[in-house]
Amino acid sequence: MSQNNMSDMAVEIKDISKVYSKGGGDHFTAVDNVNLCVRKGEVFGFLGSNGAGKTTTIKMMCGLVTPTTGRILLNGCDVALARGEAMRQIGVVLEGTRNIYWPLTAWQNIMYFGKLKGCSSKNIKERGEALLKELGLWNRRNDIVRHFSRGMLQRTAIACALVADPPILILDEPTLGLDVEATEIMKALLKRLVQDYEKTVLITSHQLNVVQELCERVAIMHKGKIIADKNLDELLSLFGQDYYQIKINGALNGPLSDLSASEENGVTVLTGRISSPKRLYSLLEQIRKRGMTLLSVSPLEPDLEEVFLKLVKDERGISNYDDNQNHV
Amino acid sequence: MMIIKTMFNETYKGLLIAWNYKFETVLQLLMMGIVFIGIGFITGGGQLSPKQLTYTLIGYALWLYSSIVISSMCRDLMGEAQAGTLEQIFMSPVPVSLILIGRSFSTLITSTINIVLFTMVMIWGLNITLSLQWEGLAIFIITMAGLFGFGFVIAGATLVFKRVGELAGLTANALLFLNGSMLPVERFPTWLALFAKTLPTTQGVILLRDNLINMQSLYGLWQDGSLLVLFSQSLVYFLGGLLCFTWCVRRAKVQGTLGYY
Repeated sequence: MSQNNMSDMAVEIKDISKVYSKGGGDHFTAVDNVNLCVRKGEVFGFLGSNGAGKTTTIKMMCGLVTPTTGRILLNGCDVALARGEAMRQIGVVLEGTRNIYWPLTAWQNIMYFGKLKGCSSKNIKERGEALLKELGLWNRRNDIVRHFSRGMLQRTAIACALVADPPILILDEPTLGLDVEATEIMKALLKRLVQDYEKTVLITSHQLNVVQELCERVAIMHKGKIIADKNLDELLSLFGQDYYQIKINGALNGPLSDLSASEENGVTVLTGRISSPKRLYSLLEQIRKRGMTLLSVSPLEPDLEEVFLKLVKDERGISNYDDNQNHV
Repeated sequence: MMIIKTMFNETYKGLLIAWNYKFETVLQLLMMGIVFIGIGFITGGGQLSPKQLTYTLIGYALWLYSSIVISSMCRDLMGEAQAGTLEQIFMSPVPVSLILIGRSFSTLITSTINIVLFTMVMIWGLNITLSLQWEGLAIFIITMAGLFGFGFVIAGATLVFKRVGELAGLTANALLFLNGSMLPVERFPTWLALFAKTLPTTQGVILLRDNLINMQSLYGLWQDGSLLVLFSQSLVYFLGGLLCFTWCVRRAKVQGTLGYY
């Protein structure tokens, strides 16, 4: 990577590993030699199953866990060597809603966390007012947050994370436990943060539809390693070539391969993965031999959830898929 | 400048939270009063003697500080870790040791409000005479520096070992008997007296009694070496506590246990 490109990076994770001692000489590798970059102004999705190592990676980014090896730069500031400056680059809402003081009001939380980040009262007041208005909390600013709904608590935590105007926002499970309406509000807010305020946003979420809607690039972590790190479109299209929908006139007489079948209004719809053109031709030949009328054959784009499950299930990583594509 | 801002920020937050728990605070004050009267009866041989109560009040007030500081450094820190706000504090650009000092100052202010209120009610209600002197304030401040140093050790241990809550409670209660609140240290067996004098607040209780009851001046206490002992002890506790806390934070970050309980 050139020096010029390096300056475009909001987050640079270089050869990071985290090994925990389990006692008795045993060790557990939570994060295994991870390299990752997030460009400035990008919305980046960081995915992984429970225990994949993504929370440990995020906590290492936030200076809450010390890496065993490697280094992390936030807008060029080394988390280990220039902690104070690195911390000024980020606003973080960790998993769960209690990133703020429940006995205090929304405004008191804003004032406290703003000062904790070293901002002046004048700046906090100006920015706090703008943020609370933007987040629809201005009329409730003097209410004790203990009485807030989960969505309001999450929005208050985001306001506190943004009060010092950090260029990078890290959100661990921002929509966890939110109802549909609150999730929509959160998604709209995150879109505005990137479009209007030019923030770099890093999101982890188990709600992959949220990530698919918001993120430009996605990294998938599994067993401490990054198994995919691609633009969302690339990632989806990579698997899109494998998925097909075949429509046949009439009912299907007997199963056909491992494709799923459904029938509606006299039309049978077959969907599933067909790994090569040769396999597709073979299936079409079988349909012809059974005397069924083929209505259409169309490639399908899988959603992120399918891609995620496939990658994690196979544990092979994206490079293997790239190789497979080259062979076809 | 940064430390003053941090102190103010932490104190303001501490007072706001304390105000939210005012009902609990009133109950706590009531409890303090009941326990003090009980101790007064024991030390007065079944009677509430104002002279004996004056003597006991100084030790008891300092024990209350110990109890609040130890509880604040342990229970509050655990509570914040469970709540998730502790990790937010550790993500501040302000050095964590400065935040710890800021929080200690906040604890000092909030506990002083409670203890002064309690002391005034006791003085008025039980006819206790106590001549407060500015010199006593110097002894008090030095004693508090040592006590907070001890609190830093508790705070650090809480981050690393997690299950120190019971031990902290035990330590706070043991200090009531060992810092001379109930029984003067001079009446302890020699080995116990030696041990008791190494604990935070014990030397402070002795010196405050000498100053406020026996009317010994600060200069006199300096000349007989007892003030120097208190000063050295507090310095060791404060600096040692800060070092210990810093080490424990580093350890907790390596173990990845900063926010887990």
